[in-house]
Amino acid sequence: MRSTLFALLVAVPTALVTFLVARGTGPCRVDPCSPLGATTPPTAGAGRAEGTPGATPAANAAKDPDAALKALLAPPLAGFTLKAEAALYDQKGLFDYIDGAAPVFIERGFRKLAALELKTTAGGELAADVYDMGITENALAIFTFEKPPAAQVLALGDAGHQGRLAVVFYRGRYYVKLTAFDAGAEAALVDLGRLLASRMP
Amino acid sequence: MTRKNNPDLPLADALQRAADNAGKPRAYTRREITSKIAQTSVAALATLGLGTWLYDRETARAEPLIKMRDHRIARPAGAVDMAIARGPDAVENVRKALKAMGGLETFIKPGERVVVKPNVGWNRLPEQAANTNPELVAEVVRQCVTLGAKEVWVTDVSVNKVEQCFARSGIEAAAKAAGAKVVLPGSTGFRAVAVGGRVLQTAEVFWPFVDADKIINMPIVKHHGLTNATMSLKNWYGVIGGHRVRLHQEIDQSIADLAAMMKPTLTILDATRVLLANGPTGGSLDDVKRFDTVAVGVDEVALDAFGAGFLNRSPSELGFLARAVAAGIGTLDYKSLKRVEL
Repeated sequence: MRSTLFALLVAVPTALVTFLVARGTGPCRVDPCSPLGATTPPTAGAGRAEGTPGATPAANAAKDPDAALKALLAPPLAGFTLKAEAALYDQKGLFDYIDGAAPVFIERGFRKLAALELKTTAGGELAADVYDMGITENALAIFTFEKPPAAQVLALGDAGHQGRLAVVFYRGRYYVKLTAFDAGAEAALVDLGRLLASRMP
Repeated sequence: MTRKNNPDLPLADALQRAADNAGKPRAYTRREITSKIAQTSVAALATLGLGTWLYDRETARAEPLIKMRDHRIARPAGAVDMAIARGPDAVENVRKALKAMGGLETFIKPGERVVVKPNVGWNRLPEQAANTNPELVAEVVRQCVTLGAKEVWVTDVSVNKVEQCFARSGIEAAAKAAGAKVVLPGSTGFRAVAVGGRVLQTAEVFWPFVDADKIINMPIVKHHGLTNATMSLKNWYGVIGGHRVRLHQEIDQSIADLAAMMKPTLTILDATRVLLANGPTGGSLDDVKRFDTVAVGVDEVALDAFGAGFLNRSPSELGFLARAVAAGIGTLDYKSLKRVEL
């Protein structure tokens, strides 16, 4: 009797665990695991500065790079309001955000992306994508790779360029792409770029 | 044989041993240990069996796989396979090209449910050329409605947030104004479909593509960082749900697998504005060049082979086209087809 009770106590919970594990790791078609992964960022959340008080931004970035990345986009951003919280994408999630452009980033050491949508005080809409490339050399590598041959150079960050509706620059480990969706927002791109660059170590 | 049935062990002696061992850890006999091991093994097997049984029941509840329909139509001998129209007016270009193909009425019949599938993957303006030109979408919808289509669904499984993509691209407003029902994918509405490809065996396909009587593919020509180009065949990534990373492991074959599954009625290739670099997302207008061209055809591979020229690529440089040819989807030699240039 005691042996039977023992067997049941062992078997039932373990069976449930086995079932749950099997269900979670079984063959996954494209894609019942996530009904609409294409529009679902893997993690989201920003909005407050994080990091070790008193430490330098560079030290914070090295110690807790996710918190440092989110802190770059934390309000207040003078002259801008956030449409939504920043979304973070890791290497796997990057495909859900930029699809086939992801491999060129990953090959160059991409670590994480923070994507943010903003409005200017005049109502213009724009997007800020801040790529944490881990180290300065990687940020420079992707900046160089994506830079159009005839790009208009912009004194921003460590190096930058400006196109119609777009501003791109890198500073330290961060590679930043700013995109405007109207003329009003386009005029504010450089201001936003300078604001973000000033927060970067 | 157990201890209590052993005639060689007198009861008094057994009681004395029990009294001597009181409070001490019990010493198991070899037979008891064997018995415990056997019981534990049975419990483990039962565990495995129960877990497997529960999992199988869960799996058995999944819906059966659907096979996609062939949406192509039989065409008369001598019909034009491909029509290319050039000019500053995009709407006029698609009108001319469709007319050269025999008119949309040769493809769409009254009472049919039609899916129009532009590329609406991106939170981008029309000028940024990451999505299909909304004016072209509107014109095709208008013609379908005029022909008496029962339903015209405009849809795409966007990469960026779907509401933003449809609004920013101008496609939602243009399609609705022309009489279409814009179907935005959500977290449900995907059906398990058999792909039977070399890489993709199954896919979760958004329901309008499964239910439609006719499908019109409306891709835009643009640069793509991984495949160098995205046009007709790659546009089928927008019929399925799920994380895209797994599709990019063997991307050329994945594209060919999906292209073999989807057999559209007609394909309309938008090369009005072409994103020449930093695709598929783009953003800067400096990466966009106007070509003011629309190509319509029934061979997607041929259309993509033609479209590669806008990106200064030879069709032979595009791996997914070679895979598509190997799968018998179409021909690279678009010049061998019956072709009209306007």
